[in-house]
Amino acid sequence: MSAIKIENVSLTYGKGTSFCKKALDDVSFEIEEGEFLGIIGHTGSGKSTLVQLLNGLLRPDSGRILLKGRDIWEKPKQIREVRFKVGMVFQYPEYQLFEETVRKDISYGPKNMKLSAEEIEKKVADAARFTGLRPELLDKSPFDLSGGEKRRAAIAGVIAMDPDVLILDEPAAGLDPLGRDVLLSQIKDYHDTRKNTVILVSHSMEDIARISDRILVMNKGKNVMLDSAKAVFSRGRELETMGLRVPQITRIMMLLREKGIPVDTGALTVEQGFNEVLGCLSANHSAPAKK
Amino acid sequence: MGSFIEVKDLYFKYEEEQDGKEPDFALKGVSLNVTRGEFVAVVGHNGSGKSTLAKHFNAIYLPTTGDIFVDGMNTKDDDRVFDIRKKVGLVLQNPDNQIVAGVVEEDVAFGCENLGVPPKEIRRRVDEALKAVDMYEYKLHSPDKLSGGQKQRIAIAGIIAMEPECIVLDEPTAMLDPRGRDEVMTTITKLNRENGITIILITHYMEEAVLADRVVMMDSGNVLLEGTPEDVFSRVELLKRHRLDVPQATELCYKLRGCGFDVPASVLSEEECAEAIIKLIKG
Repeated sequence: MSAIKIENVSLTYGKGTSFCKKALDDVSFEIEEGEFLGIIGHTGSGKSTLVQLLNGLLRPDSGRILLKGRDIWEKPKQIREVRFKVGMVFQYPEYQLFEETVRKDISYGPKNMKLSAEEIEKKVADAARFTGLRPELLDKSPFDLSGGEKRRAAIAGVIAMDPDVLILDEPAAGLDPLGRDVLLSQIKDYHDTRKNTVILVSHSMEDIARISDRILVMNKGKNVMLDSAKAVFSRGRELETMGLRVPQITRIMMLLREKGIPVDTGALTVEQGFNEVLGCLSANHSAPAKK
Repeated sequence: MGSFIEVKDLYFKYEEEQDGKEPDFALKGVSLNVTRGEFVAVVGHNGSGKSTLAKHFNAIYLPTTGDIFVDGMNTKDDDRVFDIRKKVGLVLQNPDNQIVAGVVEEDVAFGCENLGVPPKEIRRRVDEALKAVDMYEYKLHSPDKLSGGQKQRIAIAGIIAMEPECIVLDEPTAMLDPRGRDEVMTTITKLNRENGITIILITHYMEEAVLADRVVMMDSGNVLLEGTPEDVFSRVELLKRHRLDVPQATELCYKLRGCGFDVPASVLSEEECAEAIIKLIKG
């Protein structure tokens, strides 16, 4: 069964006013259970609206959102349950830290779920471990942490609710390249360990390419592609017309291909591109031997 | 040619924290010169001090010890702060925090109004600034209906209208999608090349730093390395050790060199990289 099924969902902001804007236009797709889905799209393409619909923060004008086969708006009064099952990490989540200590902040979600003290403690410890927060930080004030640590603490607060679906909107924005790499590999490890569904929204094509099983491409309120990273980025020209790009390495492969060099344009990382080039070179007698 | 901005042995410490312990210096003896008309990119990991440095260029922060001269004026000189801010404009990361008015042209005029520029002159400057960032046709729009890249260009226009000689941009593209990033970078490059405005760009994106005349790499509150983009990015290992990336094109060539293949170390763009590989394969 799919984890989430979106059926013909449309949403218009400011209906009946002069600011009326169709944010989503008849969107339908499914997310498999345990999948790591990347979402890309230009500013205003509907990505953020879409993810806010998935955990019931917004309600569609028409269409249905099925969580494990059940319409999330079947009983509107129980929408809170959906928010425990679908965890959402907003952009710059560190602005939402508010408790006296990091431990209390991470406990906030599990506490609202009415878990026992022991369970809460365990969830907090697990969440801190997944996000790489050192135990001694837990009793500090969140406001004494560095920017990167704050970000981790905020993400831990959502992970502590142990959601079936975890949504992250630009979790690595503003981090330096190494900080970005570390955070993304921790999210990937979390996904591999918990085997839950993770949805990542990002403007970084390199990050999305490296980490996602499949990629959803949004353009002007519509879902225009849903496929493997390789398949999506092999349509580089189309992506460019939507204000998107392909990873730099994919562009290099495309340029080589145009010059008749038989590399796979599906290469998405430096490692893959390197292997493609090596393959071509070793087929060539003039290549020097590997050191 | 003389320096437009001169940073001399700058040390800076943030105010004491609440729990009484002395904070460490955020900047530890930075010395740096920027020539008039130059385009300088400043890179460095989180906490390296690059944003702290950026806020010194127009006297938002003042050195704890050391001095900064902008066109010969010391930023510590209270009487000159106003003149310094006229010469050096600052653009920040999040465009939503920089927009103050409900109509694009009013927003762009805001800085000029505060400088006491006569209304007729404001009209001329606003129109020119909007044309410079390619947003003239949006002058009567509401800024909150624009895309991130458009909003950031409006913020830049607001600075241009004050006719500064130098613009400092602190991660202006961090919140933008790829097209928005391109738009902003094209605007910055154009202002530098065509209008001769000195640019200091703080960025995490190495693809942007590549466009500069000179790259300054910060680490733990000091300048670790500076040079042309070709020089700086050819030092792949040093950069990686300091939590920085190199463009993927540079990294691919670096790996090929590591295997003994003859490709240049100074490759920065996709085109250069493809060209080097084609040469290698076709001989």
